[in-house]
Amino acid sequence: MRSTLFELRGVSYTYTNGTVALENVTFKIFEGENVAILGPNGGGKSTLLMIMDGLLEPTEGEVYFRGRKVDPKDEKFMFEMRKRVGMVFQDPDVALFSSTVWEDIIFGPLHMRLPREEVIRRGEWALRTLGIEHLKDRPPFQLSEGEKKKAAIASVLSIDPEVLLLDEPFINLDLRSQERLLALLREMSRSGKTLILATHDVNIVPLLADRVILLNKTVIADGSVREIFSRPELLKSANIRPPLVAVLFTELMKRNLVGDGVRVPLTVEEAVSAIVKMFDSKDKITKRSSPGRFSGLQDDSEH
Amino acid sequence: MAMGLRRMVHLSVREVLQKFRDVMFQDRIARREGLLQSIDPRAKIVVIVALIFTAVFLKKIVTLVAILFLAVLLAMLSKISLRFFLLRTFVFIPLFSAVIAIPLPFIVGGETITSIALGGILIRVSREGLLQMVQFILRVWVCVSLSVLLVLTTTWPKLMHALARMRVPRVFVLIADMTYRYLFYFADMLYKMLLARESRLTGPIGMMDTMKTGASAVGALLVRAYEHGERVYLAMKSRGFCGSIEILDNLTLRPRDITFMMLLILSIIPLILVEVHALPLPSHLLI
Repeated sequence: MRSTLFELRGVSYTYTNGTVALENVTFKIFEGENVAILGPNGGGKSTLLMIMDGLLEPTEGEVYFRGRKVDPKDEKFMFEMRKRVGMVFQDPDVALFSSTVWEDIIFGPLHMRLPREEVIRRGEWALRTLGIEHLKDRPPFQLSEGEKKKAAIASVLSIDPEVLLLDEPFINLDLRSQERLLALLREMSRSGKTLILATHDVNIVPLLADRVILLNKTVIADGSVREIFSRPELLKSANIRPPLVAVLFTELMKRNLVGDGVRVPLTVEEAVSAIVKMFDSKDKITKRSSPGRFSGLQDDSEH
Repeated sequence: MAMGLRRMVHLSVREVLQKFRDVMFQDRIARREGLLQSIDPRAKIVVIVALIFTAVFLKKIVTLVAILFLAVLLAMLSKISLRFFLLRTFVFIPLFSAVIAIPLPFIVGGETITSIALGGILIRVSREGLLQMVQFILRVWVCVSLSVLLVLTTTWPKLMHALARMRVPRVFVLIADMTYRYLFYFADMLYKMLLARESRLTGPIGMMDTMKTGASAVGALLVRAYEHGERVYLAMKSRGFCGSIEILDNLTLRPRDITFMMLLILSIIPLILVEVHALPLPSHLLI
């Protein structure tokens, strides 16, 4: 039985200019889970992460971390929480405020009052992990957007938190960096860390998350990735475009062109397996010389 | 004519922003292997501040010139080209100070060395006024040269680190550091805003419209800067910031740093002796 890490009870947030960011958000996040908070732009994802990190106080409702109420005024508790929870901001320019990348990376460990040797060890590990050793002494403002993003992620990884709150971490990263970050996050997940990812990139979600909270100011749906992604109409109602492979297979299923037992694929790899499976079945049927369910597919292709 | 002026204003804003990046943030010189680059930044700060204070209190032109020569010598030993150094130190700030100091020979009383007749008015040029003007320009030039020397030969992070180690209030160091870091960010943002405006223009706009859109761009930048500042503070809090900045100290004062510091500070003593007439100099130099 996994213990509850975060619990949100009726959380609402309204900005001082009257903009409602969140309305009555309630859910629990358990230890070791990989949760994707999926929603459109302006859907309240970043605000929600900042509330969970104790940076913003909800207008209404409460947030609990490991059973204790998150109170930004409780400095002692917040200090302990910051050692356990790290947040990667969407905009790397917000996270890089020091003179050099190295100073930004060791900012967290230094302020966690870790011993000097440990600060250096963690800083160097973070640089190595993100492959940015060559940027160590560079001022952040001289970096490209992708480099800034990696430096911002490294500045949080150096804290070595149990929980990572990631606000659109894959934006502005090239393919190789995306793959590297994905592998790193998977490895962190395997080592028992909890990942909470705010994104509107539906292609990343199945690769990393095992649960999706669909958010558009309020929670629209909460379930496994497959449950949520198998319902394109639900995603569309939240202004999210479902993965193209899922849309394709949902359409094929509607037209009865997919064999029994084939689930809606969420990734290209799953789609390839499903297609191979479909063709295998078709071959068997053709060999028996009896009309099968895939005749429609053949007809379509002939047209 | 008006169109030319508009174009000139527009281009100069863009050029200023483009040059901003190159001039303000270049640290190529600070990474060269020269004398000042090899000295601990704390020793450099102590020496430069001591020389600047001395220059502020010195009145004799000969002593000010001596400090200026010292600055030039340090620049050359630090592999800074003489042309670059003089251009960097003399072209702007001392020239501005010259504009301020030009009236001095005409308004300060004393021994008249020449007079100019303008219309029916006779304008006298006094020796004391002329000396004050030269002193003022030289003093500004010396102070600017020494400050530029410090900034050119020290990377910004090292300078901030040294200030923090010298017990300059951390908040001051943090504000200076963030101001420097975000100057570029906001300059870049303003540059993009100007480009975005340009991309939506179909033709030239009037001077008044240019000023209006310029003002609104500055206003928008202010709002953005404020919002950005709020988010930076949140990011700092998120990584454990509780109001005081911690730094990882890696500065060590070596014997050569102390020797450099002592030598330069000792070099101030003869200047002070000349100033108080304790050290004899040829009379034509004692102005």
